[in-house]
Amino acid sequence: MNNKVKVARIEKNMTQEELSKQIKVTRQTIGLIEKGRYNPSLQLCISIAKALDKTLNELFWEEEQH
Amino acid sequence: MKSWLSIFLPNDEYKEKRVLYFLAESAVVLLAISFIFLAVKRFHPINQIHDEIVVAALSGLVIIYTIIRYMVSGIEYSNVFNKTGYKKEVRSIVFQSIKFAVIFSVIYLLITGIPKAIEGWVDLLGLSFLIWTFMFLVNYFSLKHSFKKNSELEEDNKW
Repeated sequence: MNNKVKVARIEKNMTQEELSKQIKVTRQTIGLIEKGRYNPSLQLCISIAKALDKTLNELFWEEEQH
Repeated sequence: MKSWLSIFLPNDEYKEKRVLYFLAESAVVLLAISFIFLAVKRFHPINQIHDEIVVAALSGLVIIYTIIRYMVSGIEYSNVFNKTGYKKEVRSIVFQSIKFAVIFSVIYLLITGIPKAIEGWVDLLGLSFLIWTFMFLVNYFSLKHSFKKNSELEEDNKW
């Protein structure tokens, strides 16, 4: 699943490690989510969105291709 | 989701999901082997194999399958992303394996008693060394796979 977690994290000047500590997952999990290799649960998506001050739509909604 | 199994599972969501898959896979493998064993026993009675051995072998299979899948998946050392962390973990693995081998030796001595002959001590030392080597290799391979997986994620991060 494509997402904008990495861009949002960099915009907020956060490292993967800082984000992982804040939402209590491993750094590997953050790396896999950013790369689109793991689809997080809704609960984890909400935690990530809160930590990055974004909405679920802004992070995980796929924009239509024209 | 609530289950008594939760107390044995990791807190990290991704790790938890993977471990559940490994356990489910091992249960399917166990079921398949049990059916094969029953079929073989029905057509070719193997009376010389004791039930205890069969139960021990099947239990061992489930444990070994799950450990190998966990080790190869590279999820154990999920926070080791650089050489410094890697070296620190290698040192930790060496000491943890020594600790395990020492605990094993003490329990072995408590059960079997202090050896009276030198051969008994040689046996104990040999066994402890084998245990240490096994523990070290299992953890080291797990660390290697984890570090490789993490390095791939790290490379993707450099843009």
